[in-house]
Amino acid sequence: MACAVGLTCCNDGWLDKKPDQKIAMLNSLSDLQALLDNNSIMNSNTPYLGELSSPYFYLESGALARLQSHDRNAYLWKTDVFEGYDPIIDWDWNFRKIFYTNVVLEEARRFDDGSVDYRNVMASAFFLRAWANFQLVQVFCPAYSEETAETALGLPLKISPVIDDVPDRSTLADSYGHIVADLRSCLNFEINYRDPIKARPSVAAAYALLAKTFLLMGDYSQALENARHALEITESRLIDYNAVDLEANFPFELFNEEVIFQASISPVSALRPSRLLVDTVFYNSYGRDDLRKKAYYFHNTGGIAYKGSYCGSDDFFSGISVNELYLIASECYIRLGELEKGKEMLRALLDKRLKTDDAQIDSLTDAADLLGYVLTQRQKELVFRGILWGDLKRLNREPEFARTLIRGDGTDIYELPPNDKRYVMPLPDKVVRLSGLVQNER
Amino acid sequence: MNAIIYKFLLLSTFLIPCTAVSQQTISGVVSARETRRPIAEVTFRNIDNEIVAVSGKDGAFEIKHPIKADSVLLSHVAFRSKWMLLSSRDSNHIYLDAKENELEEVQISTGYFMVPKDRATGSFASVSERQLNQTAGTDIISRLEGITSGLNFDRRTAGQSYDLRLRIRGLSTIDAEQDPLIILDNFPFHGSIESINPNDVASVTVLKDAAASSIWGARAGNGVIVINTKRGKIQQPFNVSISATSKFIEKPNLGYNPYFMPSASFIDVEEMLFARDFYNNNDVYKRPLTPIVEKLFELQQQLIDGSAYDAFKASLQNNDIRNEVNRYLHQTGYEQQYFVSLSGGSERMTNLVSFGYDRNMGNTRRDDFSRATVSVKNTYRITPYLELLTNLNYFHSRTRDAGIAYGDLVPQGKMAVYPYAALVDGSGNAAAIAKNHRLDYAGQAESLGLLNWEYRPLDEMGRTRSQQLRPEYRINIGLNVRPIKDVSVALMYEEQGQHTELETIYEADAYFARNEVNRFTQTDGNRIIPMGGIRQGSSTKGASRFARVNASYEASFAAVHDVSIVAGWEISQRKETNLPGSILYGFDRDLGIGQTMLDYTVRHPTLPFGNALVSQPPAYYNERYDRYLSYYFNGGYLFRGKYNLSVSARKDMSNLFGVNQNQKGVPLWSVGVAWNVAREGFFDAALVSGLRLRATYGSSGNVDKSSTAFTTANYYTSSLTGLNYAQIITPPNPNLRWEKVNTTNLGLDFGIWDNRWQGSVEWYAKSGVDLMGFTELDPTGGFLENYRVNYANLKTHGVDVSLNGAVIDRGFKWNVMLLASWVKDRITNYTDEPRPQTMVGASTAALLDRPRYALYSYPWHGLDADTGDPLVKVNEELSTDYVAFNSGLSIPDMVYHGPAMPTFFGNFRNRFSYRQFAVSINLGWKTGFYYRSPSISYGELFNSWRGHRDFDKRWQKPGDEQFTDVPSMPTGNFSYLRDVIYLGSEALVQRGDHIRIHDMLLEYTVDDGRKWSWLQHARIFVHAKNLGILWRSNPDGIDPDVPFSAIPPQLHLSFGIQLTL
Repeated sequence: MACAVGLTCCNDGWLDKKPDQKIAMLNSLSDLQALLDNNSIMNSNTPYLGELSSPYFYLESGALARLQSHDRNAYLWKTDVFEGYDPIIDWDWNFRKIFYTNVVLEEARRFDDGSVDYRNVMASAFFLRAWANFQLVQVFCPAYSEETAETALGLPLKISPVIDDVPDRSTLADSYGHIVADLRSCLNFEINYRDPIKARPSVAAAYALLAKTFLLMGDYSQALENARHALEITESRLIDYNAVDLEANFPFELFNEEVIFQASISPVSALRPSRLLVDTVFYNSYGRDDLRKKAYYFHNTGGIAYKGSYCGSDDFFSGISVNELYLIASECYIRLGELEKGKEMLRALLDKRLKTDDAQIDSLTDAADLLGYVLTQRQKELVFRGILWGDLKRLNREPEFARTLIRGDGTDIYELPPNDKRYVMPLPDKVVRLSGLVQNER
Repeated sequence: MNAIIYKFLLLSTFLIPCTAVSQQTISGVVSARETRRPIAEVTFRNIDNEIVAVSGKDGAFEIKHPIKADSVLLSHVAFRSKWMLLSSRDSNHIYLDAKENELEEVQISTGYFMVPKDRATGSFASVSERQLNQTAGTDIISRLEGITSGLNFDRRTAGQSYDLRLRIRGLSTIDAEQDPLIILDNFPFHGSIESINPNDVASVTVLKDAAASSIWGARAGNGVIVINTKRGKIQQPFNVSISATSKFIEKPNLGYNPYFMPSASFIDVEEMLFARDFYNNNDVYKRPLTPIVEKLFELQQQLIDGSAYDAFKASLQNNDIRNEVNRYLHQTGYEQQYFVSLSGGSERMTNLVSFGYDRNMGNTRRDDFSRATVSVKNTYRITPYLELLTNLNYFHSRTRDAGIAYGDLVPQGKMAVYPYAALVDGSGNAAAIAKNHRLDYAGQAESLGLLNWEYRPLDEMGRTRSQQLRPEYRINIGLNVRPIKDVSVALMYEEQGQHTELETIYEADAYFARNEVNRFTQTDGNRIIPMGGIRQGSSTKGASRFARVNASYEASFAAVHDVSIVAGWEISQRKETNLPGSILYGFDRDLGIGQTMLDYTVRHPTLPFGNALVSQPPAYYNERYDRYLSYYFNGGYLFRGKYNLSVSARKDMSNLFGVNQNQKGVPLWSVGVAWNVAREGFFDAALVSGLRLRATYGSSGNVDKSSTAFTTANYYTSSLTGLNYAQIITPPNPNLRWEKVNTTNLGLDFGIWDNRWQGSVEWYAKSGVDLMGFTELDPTGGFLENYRVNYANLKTHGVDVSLNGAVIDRGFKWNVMLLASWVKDRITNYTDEPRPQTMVGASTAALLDRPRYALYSYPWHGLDADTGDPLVKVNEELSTDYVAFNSGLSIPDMVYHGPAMPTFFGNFRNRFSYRQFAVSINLGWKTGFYYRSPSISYGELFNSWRGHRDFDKRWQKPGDEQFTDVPSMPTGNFSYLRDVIYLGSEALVQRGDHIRIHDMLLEYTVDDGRKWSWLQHARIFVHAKNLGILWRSNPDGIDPDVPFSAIPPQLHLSFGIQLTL
C-alpha cells in the first residue's frame, strides 16, 4: 500500500491538487461572468440612507427609538450620522461592486478574443461599475450643477482591482463623466441582444441608466434620447394595473414585465414595511381612481404601509423599469417644450395606472403646470425605489420645486431646507481615517 | 555547519582511549521491579565517583574496567539509587525500585524516534500514564491541564471545554492556525479528540522548542503533542486491566449569570419604555413581545383595568426563569466510563486488545453521549531481523440532543428570554412563552385553521431529536527490518477515516415543524409544506493516509561514541468531503415516508407577513485536500555519555494553492547541544545526582493554506436566478510568504540528594517573522472580507520551571510538584496604526510594542452628577458629547492595561501518602493579565432583552456617582456610543489574577501480590475538579478564566476503580 501511495506522488502534479475544490482561479470568461452574476453583490444593496431620509413616510417614536443610532440620525437629518459606526453598507457594498467589476475588467484582457462572450463580459462590467458609481454619487456627493461640478467633491474613482489603492476624491464633473464614459464603453461593445435574465445588464439597461444620469445632470435632451432608445428596445411594455390582483400581499412579481434591470435596496431593519408608515397627505394625494393606491399600500393597524415592490417581497425594488423611462421621457419632452409628446407619454403610463382616463392631464396646457404634474406623478409612481432622494436633490436647484422637509421624533422638530449640506451623507469615518479622503461638510 | 560537525567528529577520533587488552567483564540487565521493563540510562559509578557504565536501551550494561572495589552505585533519575556488589557473571539481573516521586523517567517520543530524556537536547514535557491517571475525564487533551508545564488552556472565548485553545509557550503565530499538532502513534491525527480513549494512552510528550518540533516541519510552529498508546510487551505474562469510572457534574450554576436581571427591575424598564411608546402594537410580522408589554397594551386599550394589571404584574414579579430552567431542564450530569484491556507477549509476539465504553448524560435533560472504542495491537517478531506491527482502532460515538437548553428559549432576534418567563402555569401544565410571534397571535392560530403555533418548552422536550453518529477508524501497519547490525528500516502505513452523520428529526408536533407548516399556509388554507414532521440530514467524511520510510542507524564506537541517525521520507494526504444534505417534509418515521417534491424556486406568501422560499436541502458539495511530501533527518551524537550534539532538518512540500512552485516548500532545521555535567564527577554524586545543560536553536514554520497569491473565488448557485455565481475569496497577494518561527531554548536539568529533588529550568525566546494576520482595509478598495497578509513580527520569551521533590520520604510521604511558566510577547515590526475603536472589542487589533492580545480601554471620568451619563474628555473638558469624543479619539488616548493572557501561571501539587493511601491537591494560578468585565448595555436591554446585574447598581439620583460607575438608564433616544464608551471603559477592566483549586485526588493503591496473588495492581480513587477559586484580585465575582461565560466551571466529581490481574 505504501508503494502505491508512493507511486502516485511521483507525478509532478501530485502537489498541484487544489486544497479546496470550491476554490477557482479566474481561468476563463465564464469565471468572470460568474463574478458579475453574483446577485447578492451586484443586484442588491443599493443605498438606503437616502431612502431613509426621504419625506414620504414617518416612523412612530417607539419605532424610532428601536432603530440603531446611525439609522435614526439619518432619518432625523442629524449632522453626524454614523458617530463612528462601522460598517456603512451603502459605501462598502457599492465599492464592492466596483471591486468586482475592476477585477473582471483587468482579468478579461487575457481572454480578448473578440467573441460575444468576451464583449458581453466587458459590457456588463462597465455597466455595473457605472451602476455602482451612479448610486454612490447620489448619496455621498452634492447635486450636479454646471456651475459647481468642476469644484464640488465627487467620488474616489476606483479603476484598478488593487484593494489597498484608494484614489483621492475626484470632482463631481469627473464622477458623472466617469459614469457616462463607462456606459458609453458598455454600449461600444455592440451587444445587441436582450438578456432574458433581468439580473444581468442589457443594452436597454445601459441606455436607461444613461437617461437617468443625464436627468440628474440636467441634460434633458440626452436624457430623452437615451430614454427613447431604451423604450424602443423594451417595446415600451407596461403592466396594466387594472389586471393586477390589488388585494394580494405582494401584487407584483419579481422580474415582471416592466423590469429592465433587477436591483434592491439594502434590506436593513430600518426599512421594513412594518416600521415605515406612509405619510397620510402623500397617501391621500392618490386619487380615488388611482389603482396604485391599492396596489402599493395597505392598511396596517397603525397606519398605511407599503407593499408595491417590484421584487414581489418586502425588499424594496431599486432597479430600472419601463415606467421610469416613461416619466423621464415625459419630463424631458415637457422641459424641452414638446408638451404634446410629453403629455402623450404620461397619458400612456397613467392609462395603465388609473381605472378611468385621466381627466386632469387634458386640462393642463401651461408648461410649468405640466412639469409640476409630471413630477407629482413621478413621486407617486417611483416612491420607495431609491429614486426620489436624487430627485429631491436635483429639484432643489429649481426654486419653484425646492421644498423644506420637516420631520419630528416625538419631542423635537427637525428641518431640512433646500440645498442643505446635510443632503450629502458623510463618508464612513473608517475611510477618512485609513485613506485620508476629504470628509463632506455637513 | 557541516564543516563544524566534521571537525568535531575528526577530533573525537583522537580521543578514543586505549583500552586494556584483557579485562574482567561484568554484564547484565537492569529492569524496573514493578513493570519488569528494562531501564536505560542507569549510571554505574565506582567509589571514586567515576562512571563505569551506562545501561543501554535494552537495559543491558557491560563493565569492562576492572573495578577496584566490587561495589557500584546505580543511579537513575526515576529510580532509587542503590549500592550493589557485582559479580563477574554474564547475567546479572538487577531490579530497581521506582521512586514515589512523580517524574518518572520516560523515553521521549517525537513520533519519529524515541530518545531517553537524558540524551535529548530540546525541550520536552513528558506526561506518564501515572500522571494522566491523576485526573479523570473523557478526552485526553483536557487531562493534560495542570500536569504539563508551559501549556496554557485559553478559555477566554467561552466556558465550554471545546472552545478552548491550547497555547504551548504562548503565541507564535498571529491569526493563522493556532492549535498544536497532535501526533497519535507516529502520525498526525485528524480525528476527533474524543475518539482517543485516555485509558489506551501510555504516554504523552509535548514538544516545546524548535529542536523538539522541527522534525515535524511546517505544522509544528505551534508545538506538537505526541500521544503514544499502549502495546503488549515481549515476554510479558498475560494480564487483564479493568477500570470503571463514574463522574458527576453539578448542575450549571445559573445564579452566577451576570447577564441576569431580576424580574422586578426588568418590568420597571418595560413600563418605562412603554410609557415612551417604545413598543409596536402594529407589527405586521407579529414579532414577540413580553407578557407585561402585552398586558400594558390591554391596559392602554382599556380591555383590563389597572388593578387587573397590577395583579398580573404582582404574579410575575417574583418569577425567576433560572429556577425553572434549573428545575425542569437541567439535571446533574452523570458520566460512566468502562474499560477492559487484555495484553500479553511471548518470545515471538505480543497482543493487546482493549474495549472501552462511555456513556455521558449531559446537564441538559435528554442529552447524552456514548462512545465505544476497540483497539487491537499485535507485534509479530517473525525473525530477529523482521518485526511486523499492526494497530487497529475503531471508535463509534453517538451524541443525542433531545432536550431543551436555555438557549432554545431565547426568542428570535433576542439575546435572552424575559426573566419572568414561566415554564409551568398555575395548574402545573407546560406554559407557552413568546418565541417567534406574539403570544396572542400564536394562541389564536388554531381558531384560524392553522396548527397550534404556541411554543411550550416543556412539551417540546423530545419532540426535536438530533443525533450525531460518528464512526472512526485508524489502521496502522509497520514493518521493521534490521538488514545489518545497527541499522533498522521501518515501513509504515496508516489510514484514518471519519464519518459524521447528523440527523435531526422534528416530530409533527414539534414547534419547528408546526412553525414551518403554519408559516407557509396560504390565505386559502392551502399548505405549501405538507403536514407532518421534518427530517434534516447531513454528513461529512474525512480520510487520511500516510506512508513513511524511516531508516535509522544507531551504534556505539569504542564505548565513548554513540551515534544515532534517523532519516526518512514521508507522504500524506488528508481528504475531507462535505456531502449534500437532505430535507424530508411531511416526514413520518413510523411509515418511513416523506416528501422532497416541493417547489424551492417560488416565493410563497408567508404568515403573518412577507414571503419566502421553502428551505431547500443544502446542495453544498465540497472536497478539500491537504497533501504533504516531506524529507527529514535527525542526527544525534553523544561523546563519553556526557556531550550531546543533535541536528534535525526537514523539508515539507505541500499542495499550496496559488503560489509558485518554489514557494510550496520550506526547509526547517534545528541544532542542539547538551552537556551532562553530573557525569563529569565535579560534584558529590549523592548530593548532585543530576545536572545537565542544554541549548537549542532552530527554525520552524507555519503555513496558512487559505491565502494565495492570486485572485481566487468560490462558486455558489443563486437562489434568485438559479445561475452559478462566484464570490472572490482572496484578492491577489503576490507577497505571500511562509511564517517562520525561530526558537532558542536554554535548559538546565538537575537532581539533588539522590534525585530526591529534581527539576528543570528553561529559558526560551521565540521570534516569529512574517506572521500572517488580518489587516484592516479601507472598504473603498471593495474587499470586505478578512484580509490576511504577512504583516508583523512577534517576539515571545519566557521561562518554564518544574520542580519535583519529596519533602518527607518515610512511611509517610509528602511530595510536591511545582510547574511555573512566565511568558511575555511583544509585537515588533508592525506598521499599521489600528483605529482605536478596534481595540476594545472581543479581539483586539495588533499594536507595535504591545502583546498580541492586550487589554485597552477608553479613559474613565466617572458619571455626570446631574444625569448619570458617562463623562468623556473632549478638548480637555469633561463632556457628554460622545460623538465628538469618538471622532477625536486616537491610539495614544487609549488606556493600555496589560496582557490579556496570563503571563505567569502554573500549578502546585502536594501529594501526601501513607502506605496505600494518597491524597493530592493541585492548585493552579494564572496571573499577570487583565480582562474586561461585562456590564449593562442599555441598547441590548431595550432591544434584545439581555440585562446585567449591574443594572441595579446604576446611577439613579444625584450623589450616586460617588458610589457607582454604572451609568443611569438613558431617557429618550440615545447614541449607541453611550453604551460603547462605558462598556469599553477603564472602569470595567480588572486584573485577572487568581488561584484556584484545580483538582483533588484521593486514592488507595494495592501493588503486586500483598494479599491476593492474582491481583497485580489495584487502585480506587475519588477525583474532584473545579473546586472553586481560592483567591482572586477582581472584586466582581467573575471567574477571570472564563470572563464571558454565563456559568462558572462546574464541579466534576469522579469515582473510579482500576484493576490489573
